[in-house]
Amino acid sequence: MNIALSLLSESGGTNVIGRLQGYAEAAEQVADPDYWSSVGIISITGILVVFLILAILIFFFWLLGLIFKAVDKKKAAKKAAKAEPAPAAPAPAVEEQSSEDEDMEEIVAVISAAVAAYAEAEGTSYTIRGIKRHSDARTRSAWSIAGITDNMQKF
Amino acid sequence: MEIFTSTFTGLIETSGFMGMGITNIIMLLLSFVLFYLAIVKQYEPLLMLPIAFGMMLTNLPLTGLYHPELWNPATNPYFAPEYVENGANILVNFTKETSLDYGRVLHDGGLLDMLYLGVKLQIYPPLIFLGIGSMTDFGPLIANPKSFLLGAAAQGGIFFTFLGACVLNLTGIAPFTLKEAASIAIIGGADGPTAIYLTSKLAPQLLGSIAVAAYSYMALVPVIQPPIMKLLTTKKERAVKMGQLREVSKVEKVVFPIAVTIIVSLIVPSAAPLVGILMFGNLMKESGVCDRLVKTAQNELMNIITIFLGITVGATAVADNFLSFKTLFIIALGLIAFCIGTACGVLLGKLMYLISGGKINPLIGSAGVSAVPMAARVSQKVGSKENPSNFLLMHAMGPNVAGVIGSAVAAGVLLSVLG
Repeated sequence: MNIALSLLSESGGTNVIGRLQGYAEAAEQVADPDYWSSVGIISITGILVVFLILAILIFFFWLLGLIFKAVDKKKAAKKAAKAEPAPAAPAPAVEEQSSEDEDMEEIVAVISAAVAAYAEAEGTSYTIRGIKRHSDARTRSAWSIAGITDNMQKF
Repeated sequence: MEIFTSTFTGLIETSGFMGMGITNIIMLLLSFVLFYLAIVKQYEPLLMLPIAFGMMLTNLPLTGLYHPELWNPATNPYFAPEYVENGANILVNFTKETSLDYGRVLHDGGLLDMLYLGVKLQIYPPLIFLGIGSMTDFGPLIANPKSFLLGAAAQGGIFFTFLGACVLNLTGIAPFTLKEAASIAIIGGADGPTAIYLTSKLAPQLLGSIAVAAYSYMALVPVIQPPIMKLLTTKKERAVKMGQLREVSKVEKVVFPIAVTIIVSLIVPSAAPLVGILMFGNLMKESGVCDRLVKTAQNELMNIITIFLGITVGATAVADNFLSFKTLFIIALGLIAFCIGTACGVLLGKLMYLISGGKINPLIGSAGVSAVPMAARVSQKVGSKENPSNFLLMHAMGPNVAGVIGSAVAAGVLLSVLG
């Protein structure tokens, strides 16, 4: 694995570097005939090793990604076959609801639970930053609109 | 009356004023400059302020908080010639000039000497990485593993600067040893803990100046990067919109830290303390079963270590080490390292743009220098200037977190060759 570095040591590279390091002063290091070649080797092998390692990681995660995509497809196919009557989408309700209700806490808990359930189904997570009652511009509540759209979508 | 005068003169003699030299005054003024940068300019204030204060404390004479001589192996009495002659050379050969007399540190050390043990023994930087790992979402990187390449390319700044520092030796003004050159070069990794980790191992005498340079430039990323990014890309390239990243499952996120730790540690064992602990923090987060530990790693532990790290790194900036041409060169080389790193990332991004047939926006390449999440934000900003509806942030986070792994690996490589 450690090809570049071992090459460096096998060919006496480390010995040269060891010798260079043995000098107390930088000026002595520079004066060594092998100084520039070893500086060049260190720089080039350095960047190559970094690329090599990250390339290995790319290959590994690319492979892993392929596997997971395949697994996900299978799962999605199964799900689609299984569940048609999915629960209504409560998403639009996130930013609506009361501010000074007496049972505020209960409502907040219900909304949070709904959002959490939704988030879990999606495989992500949401943060509720605030809950506000929607202005009364609409006559129907968000829930009934959600229900209606859900029923309508099938047609 | 006699007693009064003698106590009075005694007090004056033991006061700091007697030990105050011109170098102390210059160093104090420099620490004031850092206070200004931290408080008014808000350059990475969480670290800059402790660094500045440590610098001030250490340069107030006779406080005894920090003793640079304790950390200089050359002053270790066990390496004195007469001690060696008395037959103790077996021990000397074994420990060589790199070792310190820790017993003396514990006996004679001040507060900051004790805290500095955590830097010297490489405890703090990995612990900071633990916190970073527990805050980082590697999702964008897992979704688009190609980002790793950009994270690697941006490390080009490190190795180019290593060459540059060696070339500067030709001027003969302030020659750098190979170890010093490597420590300066790591500034290009744009990663404070990594820079401190490597420098404390290779060239502890430069710790103060390298840390100050690294954190200053990290704060200046939004100033340094955009001109380079604009120079190297065309309008059309900057306006490229990238497709949405795929969803990453929890299993992948859990496998990621384990796999990265194993792969990296096997190839470059000397990078294991940084990469391993970074990934440990990430696994705690992604597993979702150690919430309490994650909270501590992200907050309390991270904050405590940041305080200790900052103030002790600042304390190493004593006049003898800091007031030299070397510091000026370090500041210049650090800037070069940042610029080249950015340029390498953008150039590889351009190459990927060409190969992918215009699907990859080269601007995300500059995020390959770590500086999380600042560098990614810069990519987003520059991109949205060209096209306000363009959201590059998540795409840039991939190279950004890859850069953290990349610079830790680069540090590991330098350590294994020069350490």
